[in-house]
Amino acid sequence: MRKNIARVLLYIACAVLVVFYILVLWWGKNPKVGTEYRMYYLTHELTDWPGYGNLKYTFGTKEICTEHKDRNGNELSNVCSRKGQGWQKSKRYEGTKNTAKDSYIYYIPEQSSDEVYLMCDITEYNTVASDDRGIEVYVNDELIGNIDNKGTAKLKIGHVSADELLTVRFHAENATYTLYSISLDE
Amino acid sequence: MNRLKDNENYKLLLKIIIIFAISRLIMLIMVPVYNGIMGTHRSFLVLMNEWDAKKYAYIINHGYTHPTDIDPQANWAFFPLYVIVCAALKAVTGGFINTYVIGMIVSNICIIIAAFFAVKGLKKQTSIKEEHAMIMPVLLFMAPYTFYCSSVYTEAMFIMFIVLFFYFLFEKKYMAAGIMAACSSGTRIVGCILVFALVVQLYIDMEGTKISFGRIKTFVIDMLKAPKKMLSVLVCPLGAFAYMTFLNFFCGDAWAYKNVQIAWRDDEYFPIVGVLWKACTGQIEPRYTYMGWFCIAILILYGYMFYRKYYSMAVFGIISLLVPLTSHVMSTCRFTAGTYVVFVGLYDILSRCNKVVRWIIMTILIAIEIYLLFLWYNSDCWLM
Repeated sequence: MRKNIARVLLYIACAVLVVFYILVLWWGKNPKVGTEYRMYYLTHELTDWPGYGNLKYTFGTKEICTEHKDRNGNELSNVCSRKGQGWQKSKRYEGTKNTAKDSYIYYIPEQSSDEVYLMCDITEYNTVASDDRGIEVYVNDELIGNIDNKGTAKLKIGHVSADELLTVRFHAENATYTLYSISLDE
Repeated sequence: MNRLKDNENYKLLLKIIIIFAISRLIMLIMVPVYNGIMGTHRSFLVLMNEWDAKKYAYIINHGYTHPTDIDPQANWAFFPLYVIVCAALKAVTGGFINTYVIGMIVSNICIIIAAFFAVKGLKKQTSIKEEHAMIMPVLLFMAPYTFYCSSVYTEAMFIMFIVLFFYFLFEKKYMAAGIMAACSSGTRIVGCILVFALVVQLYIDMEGTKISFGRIKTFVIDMLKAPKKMLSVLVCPLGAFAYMTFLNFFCGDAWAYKNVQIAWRDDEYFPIVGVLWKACTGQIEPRYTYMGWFCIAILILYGYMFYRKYYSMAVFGIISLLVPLTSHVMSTCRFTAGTYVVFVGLYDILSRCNKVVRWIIMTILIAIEIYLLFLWYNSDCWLM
């Protein structure tokens, strides 16, 4: 009798462990994390870690696309840590070069606006094709304009909704370029 | 007192502590040697505790923390059991002892326990001669890459749980073995793999060494009829799952320890074959070429262990090496030394050599360890 009770208890312990493992695996399959965590650690859309809540963006904030420290180890402020795939990942002291045809930057605007412009400072621009269309800039998959030379470019985005992920995609078939700074201005 | 002197365990422990003391004396002597050669004045504590040791020390003092805004290398990549034991010891001692000292005390005690039970286990598992008994402690204290077992790293504790797992496994105390596997899976994720070693040994103990569909079917049915054995298997990954539960509530992601790896490396290769091919053919850094060939040599050693019928140990060794090889050869030397079973393979080879050859090989291994210790003191990237 006592032996049977022990056997039943052991089977119950086995069942409890199995249920516990399934529960943990289910938690693992359904993580409850923020946008930054999801895009950096889970989907790897972000290649820079922006910090929790730091994809949020206030219009007019100019961010520089360098390392967090300059060559001498001095801290820099307003560094753009919202870059996705397609950008140089280290030694970005004079700006960030593109390393792929498509290079991404992400924003979550804090407020809505009907008149938003993308401002970017390109410090190097090289192309090997004579009929190159330059850098095609897309916002949420809509073409907003082209950049075909170095300098400051201003491209109209139009309406932007608050708290919605804004994906800026730089598409360059043949060009290599260095992005030094970028901002969304009203 | 006389009874104590006649006690076999006491004699064994005394011998182990003497070998341990010699090994740690070498480590201490290497400090002025290193400082003299490099022209530095760094202390033993600083030299011994590089890289991850600093991360462990931070967790012991502050617990797990979220990543900062500029550093995504979150400390939840490091499993908690070693940290919990160190934090408990620190609390018990009133928090007055330096965290590195606490960690090193825990590591060194763990590796002494490991050596003790490794010798006892091998005595039961093999027809060990008395002159071979002390090979294993020498390997555990002085073989290449064992200096990690004296540092604030999880290697010593992990080895201890693996040794205890195999000790209880060969004693046929499956539940105790399962609990040791659970503890090792709370120390490092690879500990979960001990479940395969347990299943292999259970199969051998219940059905013999021959494999057939019929025997596997019988084995499964017999296992289902034996709830204690079933529970001993199921309990193996409990440590890892407990940590995953913590992570789920701490950061919302039960797999956070795995997902955080992207912050250390984002290069992707075809798992195992692609990784080894890239490494061995010199397509990545030279240190990885060395590590690639090191892995090949270790896989051959595990093959030899299969041949020598160390089935469960070989299975554990192979799978625990293949897991890191799914992404990179980085740190595989440390991981290999930290799985203990490689030392059983070496022990088997050494115990079959004649005395002179055995002494020559062991001297070479100790010389390599001293050189690696120098590299460790120098924070050399060839160890990463």
